[in-house]
Amino acid sequence: MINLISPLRKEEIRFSKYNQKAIRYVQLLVLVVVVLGSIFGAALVYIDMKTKAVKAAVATDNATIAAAAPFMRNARDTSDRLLAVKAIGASQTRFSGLLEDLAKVLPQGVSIDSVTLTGDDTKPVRIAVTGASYNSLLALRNALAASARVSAVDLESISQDTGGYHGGVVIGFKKGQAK
Amino acid sequence: MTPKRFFFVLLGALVVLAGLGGYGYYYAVTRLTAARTELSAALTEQVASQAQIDELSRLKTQYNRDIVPVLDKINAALPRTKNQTEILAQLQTVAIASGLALSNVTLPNAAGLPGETSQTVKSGAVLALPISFQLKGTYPQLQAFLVKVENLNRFTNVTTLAITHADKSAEVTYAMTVNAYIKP
Repeated sequence: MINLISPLRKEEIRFSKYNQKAIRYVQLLVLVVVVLGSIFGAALVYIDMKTKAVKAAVATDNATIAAAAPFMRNARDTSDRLLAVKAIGASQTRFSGLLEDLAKVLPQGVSIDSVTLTGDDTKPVRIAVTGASYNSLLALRNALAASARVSAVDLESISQDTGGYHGGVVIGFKKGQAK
Repeated sequence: MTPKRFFFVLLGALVVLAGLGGYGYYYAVTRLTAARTELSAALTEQVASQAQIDELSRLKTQYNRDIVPVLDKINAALPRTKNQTEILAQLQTVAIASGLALSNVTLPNAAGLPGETSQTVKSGAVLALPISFQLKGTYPQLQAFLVKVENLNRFTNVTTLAITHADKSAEVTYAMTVNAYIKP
């Protein structure tokens, strides 16, 4: 069959076919843009709403925490006070127990003339004693040396007068045993 | 408009639409990522604040259960002010109850104006009010006195104890320094 359509008309027909396809592509593209846009938009709105809700909850929580500030100050003060009580308790001297232990090792007839206790186990403690006999002072030295609290004992002097035998003893305490 | 011209218009529209779509996609993904990050941070903050509130609640319960009943005792043991009269009266009461005679009570000179914490010295995290005094009596009386002082409701510490009994016909003399503690 002989095609008698003019070349111009033929081109118009060809482009008309192209246009049909192009319109479909445009429609498809518009559809894809609209669908994706809706999905993204909805997701953004949802996330924004959720973020706002969470931020509001956090603000409420922070207000609750801020309202507890006076309680926290009291609790911290009490905690500091308790820690201080604990520290003082740990360093507290118990001279009643120390004197009782020292009295236990004093031999019969020996009495303390003077002693100064400071609770410091790094410093020597000098005790002036009076005994009925020379041997009683030696016995005191040995008794002190055997005491669980005393690390070492030195006799520094023994003298005699009408009042009896006077002795000078220096003792060192074991660690933590001077109080 | 000829079909050919219309085709090129459509082609241009397609290209513009594809370009705009691509940019829109990129923009949306960027916004979405930022929003997700923001939400994630807010959620983390919420978990942290909720944990803090739970911890506060637990602490309050523990404080009311364990601390509040003994708060008065803690404050009496470690007062905020030196309560000078109270501690001196306590020492005298304890000395009399133990049968000892209390004398020569001395406290440090106030460095500045007298106040609730004047005459005190720093002792670790607290302040100490040193009180020096003399006692006269027997060893058992001293023993009783020491036990009572060591168990006062207020925290005290005997820092020095000097025993003198040179004259055997007289009573034993005890020179003592007691620290009474304060935490302002």
